Amino acid sequence: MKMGLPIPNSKLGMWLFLGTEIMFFTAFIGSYIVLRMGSPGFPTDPDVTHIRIWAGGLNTFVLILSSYFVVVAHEAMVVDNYTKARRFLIFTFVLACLFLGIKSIEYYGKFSHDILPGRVPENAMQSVEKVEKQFGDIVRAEVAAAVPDAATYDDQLNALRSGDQSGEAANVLALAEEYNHFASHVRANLALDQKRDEKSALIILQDGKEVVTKDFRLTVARKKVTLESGKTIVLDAPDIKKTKKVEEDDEEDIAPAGEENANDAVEKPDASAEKEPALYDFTTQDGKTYRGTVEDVASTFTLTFPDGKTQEMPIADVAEERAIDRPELISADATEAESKAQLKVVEDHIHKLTKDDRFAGMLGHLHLSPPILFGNLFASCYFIMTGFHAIHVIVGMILFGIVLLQPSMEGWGDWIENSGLYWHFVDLVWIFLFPLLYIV
Amino acid sequence: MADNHKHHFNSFMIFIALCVCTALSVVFDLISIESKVVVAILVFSVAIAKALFVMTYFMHLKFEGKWKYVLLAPTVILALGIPLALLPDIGVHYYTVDTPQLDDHTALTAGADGNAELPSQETPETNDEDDGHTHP
Repeated sequence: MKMGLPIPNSKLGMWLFLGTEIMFFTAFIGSYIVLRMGSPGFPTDPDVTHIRIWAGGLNTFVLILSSYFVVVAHEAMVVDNYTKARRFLIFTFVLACLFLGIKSIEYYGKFSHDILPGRVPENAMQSVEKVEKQFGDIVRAEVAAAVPDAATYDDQLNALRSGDQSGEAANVLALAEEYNHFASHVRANLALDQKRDEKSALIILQDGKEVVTKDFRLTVARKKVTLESGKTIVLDAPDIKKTKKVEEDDEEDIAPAGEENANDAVEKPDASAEKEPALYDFTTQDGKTYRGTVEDVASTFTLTFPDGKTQEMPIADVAEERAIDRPELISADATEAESKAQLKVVEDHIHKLTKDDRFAGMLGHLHLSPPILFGNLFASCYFIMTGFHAIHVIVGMILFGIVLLQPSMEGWGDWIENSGLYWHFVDLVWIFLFPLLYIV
Repeated sequence: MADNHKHHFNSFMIFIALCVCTALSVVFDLISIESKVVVAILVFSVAIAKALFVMTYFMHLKFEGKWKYVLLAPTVILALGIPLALLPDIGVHYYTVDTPQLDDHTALTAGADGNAELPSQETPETNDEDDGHTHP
């Protein structure tokens, strides 16, 4: 009695494996189709995606030819013509190398244009953000190289400012100042666009450093309490649990020291100056109660940066605070023409800097990457599909390589048949990837 | 294995057919067909024809027994799992997608110079005035 299917076990094994492969690649290809359907404006322009139909078409031809050569090699094995079989397997192997070579040219294009998952700006804001980050990375590296013995960027910059201002160091400093100027404006605009009702400001510190904030707030952080005995104590605002104004006939709760009081104090500093100082009862967190008049002492600026981080800064450190005007670069509600014009301003500025003799060699290929809607989704799908396909090509080459290394191919018929089935499947996958990625 | 080779076919002709199909795909790309949907239908028809050539002849499925259906049918059904699972939410949604990219895209397509590209035509139409989020 014959059990199982009327085919060799190895062939059954290969077909079962190919069954799993069908599921594997259909998941990729099918998901890609669905993602594209759900992404209006998905990039298809070859100038944007750097997809070259000649490369895809040529690779399709290469794989079809190699598939045909495998069939010829297999037919030769059946009639025991091992020399012919070997010759056509070598052709197949060479074609596989050619396929990977063309693929690597395409990958090189993607890498050199930074069309990589997570690295493609998808709107004008992200384009500016990206070039700002790249510019910053270059400047920090140059500054660190110019002042190797200082630890932080600020220290390095200060050392440059106070050091010998000639030659290369002067150029590095000039570049750093250009970057600071550029970054200040870019960040100001990013901050404004993220939330327009917040109080973006340019804070100029006593030492001349400029800080762009998304929000800033003056906080009266401490209270100096003059007790009835004449003694004074200083209480930190958070330590005060309860503040009660002492009235002659009524005791009224007032808000604890905080933003509102702080703003009142700033906007109306003289409002209560001429009145009799009010008397308060202060209850601290540890339960002690003090009665006395109050005076705000140490005020601080709370700066909120575009990235959400906050910093407390003594008011004395701040020389000037300027409201930031309307965005000069990019605004979220800009039309295409406005966005393009604004991006052009940034692009031209960067271009001008790269052409500046002082910065020659430092800025390299720094340029503004134009936004590509759904560019990251495209890059992810492209690399996952073509990458896994390329891995399969390499595995196929290994399968053919093993048989080509044998001194005699006698008895390797099943191996070649099954490797051939696998290779045809690799071709099959490419047959669908080609129209999907290169044409539609 | 030997059984398969009782069924001889002209593999060179299959190769030529595949080359012609590939050339056809390229031609469909190069001639300017307005509708992306038409291009997609044409090139996928060609791709399916090529796939059938490869499977039927190069992979000898034409000459295999009925086991091929038993083995391949379940995998094909299972393979459709992920695409079908993604389709209702990602591919075909009745609501307007609210993503920063698309907000920008809307701004771009409303651009003053009129050169803005419209969303891909394969995309199911979404109704901008329809606040889909309020639907049950």
